[in-house]
Amino acid sequence: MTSDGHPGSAAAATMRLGRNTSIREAAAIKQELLTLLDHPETVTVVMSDVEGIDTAVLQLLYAFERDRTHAGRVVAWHGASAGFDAAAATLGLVFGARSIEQP
Amino acid sequence: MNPEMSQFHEAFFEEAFESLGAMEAALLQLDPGAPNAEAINSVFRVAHSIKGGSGMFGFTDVTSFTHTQETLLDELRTGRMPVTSGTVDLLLKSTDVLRGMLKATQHSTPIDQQSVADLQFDLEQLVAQRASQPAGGIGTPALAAVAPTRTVVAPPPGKRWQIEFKPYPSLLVRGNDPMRMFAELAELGDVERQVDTRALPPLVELDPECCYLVWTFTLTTELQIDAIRSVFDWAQGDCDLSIVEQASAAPDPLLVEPVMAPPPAPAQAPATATATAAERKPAPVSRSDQAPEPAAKVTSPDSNSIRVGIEKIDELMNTVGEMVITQSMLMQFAHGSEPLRMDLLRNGLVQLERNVRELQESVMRVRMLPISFAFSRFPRLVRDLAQRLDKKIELRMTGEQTELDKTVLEKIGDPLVHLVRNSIDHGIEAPEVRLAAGKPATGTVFLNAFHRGGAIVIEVGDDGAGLKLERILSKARAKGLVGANDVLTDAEVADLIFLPGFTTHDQPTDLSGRGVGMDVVRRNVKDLGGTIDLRTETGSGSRFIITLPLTLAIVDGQTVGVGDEIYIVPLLAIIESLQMKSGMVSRLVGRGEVFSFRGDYIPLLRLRQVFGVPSPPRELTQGIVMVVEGDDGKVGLVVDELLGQQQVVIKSLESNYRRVNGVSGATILGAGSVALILDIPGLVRVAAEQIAA
Repeated sequence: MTSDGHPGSAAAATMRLGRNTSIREAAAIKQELLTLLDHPETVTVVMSDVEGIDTAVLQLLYAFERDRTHAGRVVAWHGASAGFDAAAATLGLVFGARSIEQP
Repeated sequence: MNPEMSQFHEAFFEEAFESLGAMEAALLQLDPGAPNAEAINSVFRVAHSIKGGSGMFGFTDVTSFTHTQETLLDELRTGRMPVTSGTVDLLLKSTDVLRGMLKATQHSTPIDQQSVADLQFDLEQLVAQRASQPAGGIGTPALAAVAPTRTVVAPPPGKRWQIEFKPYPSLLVRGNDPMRMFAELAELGDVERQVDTRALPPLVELDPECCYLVWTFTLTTELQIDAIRSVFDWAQGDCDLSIVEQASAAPDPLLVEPVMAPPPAPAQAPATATATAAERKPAPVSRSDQAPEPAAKVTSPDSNSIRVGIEKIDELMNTVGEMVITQSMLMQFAHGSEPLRMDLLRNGLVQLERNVRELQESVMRVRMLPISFAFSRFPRLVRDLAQRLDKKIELRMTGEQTELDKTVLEKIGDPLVHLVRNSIDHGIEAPEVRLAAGKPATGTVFLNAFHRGGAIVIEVGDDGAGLKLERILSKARAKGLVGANDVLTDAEVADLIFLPGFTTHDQPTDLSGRGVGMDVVRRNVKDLGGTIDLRTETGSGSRFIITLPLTLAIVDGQTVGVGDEIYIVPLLAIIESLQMKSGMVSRLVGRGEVFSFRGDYIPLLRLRQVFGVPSPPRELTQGIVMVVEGDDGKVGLVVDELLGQQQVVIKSLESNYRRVNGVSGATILGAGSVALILDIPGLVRVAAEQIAA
């Protein structure tokens, strides 16, 4: 996973999810997300490389989008990934600024 | 192999093999004329469980094969296909193939793909033939992509289930990912799901390895609750689960389609566990019947038992052994010369002795397993052999719950198999022969086990033709094993079958008759510290009686003194101890020192010389001769004195020092000194070598 946004930068930030991410990388992913949590501009999450993703990582991404949305900030989901979509659907998680519950 | 996942592989294989045994037992019990629904269900559950577990670990060959089994079993348990003996035979063969696949996967060796493909095709054909009725003709394999056939059948009522799955936070770190379970759930029927994210904390506070989500499902399926429960087997102990049946769906006619390939599981990263998961046993989830109940914790059906590694038991046994030695040392100390002060100590030690003995017996019991583990292979074996030989055979097993040490249990299996195969091949006659002899056409092979004293007795027998003693004696004479004019009792003639290379069969079958079995059986039994006897009656049958110690960790022994050294002679090996008198010993050319014992000349072995014990030479008449018996005969051990009998804890000499000829182990006596435990078969061979020299 890579991100090319810098904390505090006014430019849009991008975070690219890797081909296979799992609980093993969850702690590192959380730290990356935290650096982008308060980014003032749109944070784009690129999913196109994703083949495998597990519950731990999806949970993090869900919390990230929820928290940013509640703070009036935007997360954009970019790139089609059957793996990501199937995983999210299996868990019943909806990404992409539909109804997000209050924390 | 992902090292973090590999630690779970062995648990999977262990449970899979155990489950296969249960599957086989259930299949053997199936009566095609009156099939037991619960037996079919239990077989289905096993296939389903192995499929799920193998899928989780990526053993795709196993997953694919068990899916095919499951498809056929589903047809049987829903009544869409009748249970026939051909179907049962095919499913039994499939357990053999699956066992081979699991072994190959476990040891990373190639799977016999041809056998798998052949059997998989046969299973698919069976399902396809059912699916293609009533049109008839050859159906295409059910799992290929075929156009659905429109067949209206009387549908079982559909059921709707409300499932609430609330994982504990630790679920994810234990290597369980809900995605896999949900994918499996989706295979059972129509699923609607809802996720509750209210417990998900803000990202800042969120522990990335914990699970905060809760799911609710509505599942519409024809399957029973057991199938739903089994989806969550791997999460038992890590979640709260509730499964509640709702009002049945209206019974509309269904379109029955050939079963298609399962939908691809959602792509997911290999689940990794960052913490070691506790060993767990799949278990049904808590029951939730008609009325909604609060979600109950998933429990195991036999939550009063746990799996324990055998090495832990061995460590415990070792520690108990040390306690026994320490207690003996203290007892010796207590027999001191200050009776008043020692009284209290002595009383305390008596109590300690009792406690240690109870602890020792408890620990030994932990290692004990019922002999049913060894007996369980025989229903299948007898069935297959009887079919192959066109014989009618009934197997009767009694005393299956008789317990013995795990090590003894593992090593007695092969000898028992040999005895049973011999019974079937050479003991039980063909049905027409039995009828002509006035016997029932169906012969009986029996296995019986019971405790007697400190030993376990296992009987293997039959009501067949019995041994033909004249033929045995004739063959033995022809081979020069018995002199032409020697007169033997019936028991001695029967005993000849234990000689290496002995067989009365001119044409060995592929089952037996090559003469390489009975001597090995006897040797294996003796290696376990046991004995084997034979009772036979021509025309009525034969019975082998195996006596084994309950455990190999301790031995009842006779302590003997040789010079300043003490040795232990296993009691089971001792025939008689006697004081030598002058004139009893002779020196025969080519046989060394011998003495006459019960009509035979037994070689003498002076332990002083064998072990190089430094002490002045003594006359034989000043010592004791213990006549002991090994595999290859008897020998008289010359010792200075008999000191007493006691139970000793066996310590391995090999692992603490090195292998020594004539010594099977060592023990520590109460005084703290080391005593060597004699290897009687080894000493008999030493005597034979001395004679040869």
